[in-house]
Order: sequence, then structure tokens, then C-alpha cells
Amino acid sequence: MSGSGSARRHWWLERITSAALIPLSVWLICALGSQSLSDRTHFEQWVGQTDTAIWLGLFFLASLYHAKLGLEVIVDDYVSDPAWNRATHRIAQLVLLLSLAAALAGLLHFLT
Amino acid sequence: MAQFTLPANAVVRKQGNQYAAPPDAGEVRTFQVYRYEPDEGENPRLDSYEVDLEECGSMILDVLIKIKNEIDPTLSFRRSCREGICGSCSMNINGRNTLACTCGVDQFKGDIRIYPLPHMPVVRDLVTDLSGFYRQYAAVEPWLKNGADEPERERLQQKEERARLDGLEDCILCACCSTSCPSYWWNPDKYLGPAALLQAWRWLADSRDQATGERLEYLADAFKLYRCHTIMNCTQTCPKGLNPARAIAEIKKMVALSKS
Repeated sequence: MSGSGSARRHWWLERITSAALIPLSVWLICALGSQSLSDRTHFEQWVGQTDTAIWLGLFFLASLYHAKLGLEVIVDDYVSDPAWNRATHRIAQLVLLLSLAAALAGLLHFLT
Repeated sequence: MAQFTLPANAVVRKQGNQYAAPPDAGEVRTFQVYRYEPDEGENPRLDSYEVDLEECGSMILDVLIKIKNEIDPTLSFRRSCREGICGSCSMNINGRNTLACTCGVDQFKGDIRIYPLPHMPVVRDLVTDLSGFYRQYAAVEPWLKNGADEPERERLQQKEERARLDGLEDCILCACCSTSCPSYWWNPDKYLGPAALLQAWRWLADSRDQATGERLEYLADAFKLYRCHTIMNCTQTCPKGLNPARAIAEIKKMVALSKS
């Protein structure tokens, strides 16, 4: 992360994603509270509904992107060696990208 | 990686020299003071001084001066005004950065521990090297920038415009805020720190200053400004009661809403 434009963009994106996570988290908590989590078939049917999948997809996108922004800050704070800094950024991005891919693949699996 | 432990040669030895109070002393308190003499090649130590408070002024600085004058003349510390104006006697007293001259002994119970400002190179005892801190202050160019020709009389301000500078120009550069900030500890070479950013905001908020764009361009950097994570140690510790955290937040808002 460097340059005035990217620093400002990072600040804005942190706030936009955290603001988006407020309604998405409230929705998720309420939705999970109204479902029977012990009945697997019922739960899979609920996740497989289009509107549920869209909301869950948005939640995963916002939360993992917010996590990416936060991890960037932590890495820049604590990993000062340039080579280690670059490597840690790459690893964090890869882990979050794989997490997002797994989450979206799971949603698609239940949709079909 | 950020360094979370002290280097082996910086670990403080708990048992330093002991200086007992005279037998006829009245109200005795023990002061444990960080001592470091780089030329000795030994680790820092904590010396223990028993001081008779009935024969001493009421402030921590009075105690340090009494120790230096009457008990141990080798103790080094900075001091000047003795009334919270110069910022020279900033140090860490019982875990909090403050000015020794405005910090009363009666604020504490039991032994009192006195250390230099945290995470700064120690020159000797309680004297730290503040060169980097002053460089950061100079980097924000803390002077009026107004491209207009020199006016024949002073540049006028409305009362409201002047009021915006209250709490900004009172900073005495004691470094208590910057040296209490974890972000400053981890990146002292790249993050400007709360004191320098408070002064940057002091000029951004000044209606007479015309260099807002140029100042924001310099500050809007991932390290110079955005290492502040609103921990607010700076505001909590400021011995003058100023609010550097708010000044930094104002700069961030100004950068976020600027067009460039």
C-alpha cells in the first residue's frame, strides 16, 4: 500500500465495507436465528434459495474484503522487512482468495 | 518484524544501587530510577533512592533535583522551566508519560518507578535522543505558508477562525504523545506520530494558511498519516490536555473529502 491515492482509497474502502457489514451481519444473525440449524436438509434448502444465496454471497464478499484490508494494515504495521512484507501480503491475499472461492463454490453447490 | 522484546543489552537489571534515607528522615518514599551509562558497556539498571519528602518539594521533578543535588550527582535528566511550559522533563512515571514538573508525588502510592520516554534511544539515564521526533516536526513544515505578498499589517482572522486553533498551538513538543503510541513504536521512521500530526492540523486549520493542498498531498500517505489506528494513548497521556487523536481524525477526513 503506497501513494496518496491508494491510502485514501484504502481508508474509504475500510469504512464502506464496515458500514455494509452492519446490515449484512444483522440479516445473517436474524436469518440464522429463524432457521432450524439441526435439520441439515432444511438448512441446505434455505441456503439454496436465490435470495439467501445472494445475501450470503454479499456477506462473504464484504467480510473477506474487510479482512483483507485489515490484514494489510497489520502486515504493514508489524512486518518491516520488505521481502517478508511482500511475501506476507501475498500469503494473506491467497488465503482470503481461497476462502472466498470456497464460500462462493459452496453457495453455487447448494443453488444447483 | 517489529521487535517485541528488548535486545539482550537493553534488558533492565532490577537490582541496581540502593540509597537509604538518613535515620532521622520523616516521610520516606522510595523512587526507582532507570539508570544507563552507555560508556560503561553494562545493561541499564534500576537504582533505588529513599527520599525524605518532608525535606523536598511536592513534584517528581523536585525529587529528581533533590536526588541529583544531595544523593547521587551522576543522575542525568532534562529540566528547565519547572512549570509545564518547556516540555524538557518529559519521562515515564509509574507507566505513564508525563512531565515530571507537573506530576505530584502525592498522585501515587508506594514506590514510584521513573523511566525515560518509551521506545526512544537513551542517551543517558532519563535523557532520550529526540532527533527523529524533531525531524518529523520539521517535516510537516510548521509555519505559515501564504503565497500572497507580504501584507503591510497583520493578517486578520475572525474570532471563530482563531478559535479553531485553540488546543492546537498549545503543544510544547514534550513527545509524551508520540512515545506512548504503539504505531509510533513499530514504525518510528515512517509514521509522523501524533505530535507532528497535531502541528500539521494546526496549520491546516489556520484560515491564513494557503498551502492546504500541498500539505494534504504530503500527509496522505499510508505510513505518514494512516499508521494512526485511533488507539488514543496520545490523547490520554498528553500532559497539556490536548487531543492529537482528534486532530489526526480531522486530517483523515480532510484527505478523504479532498478532490485530488
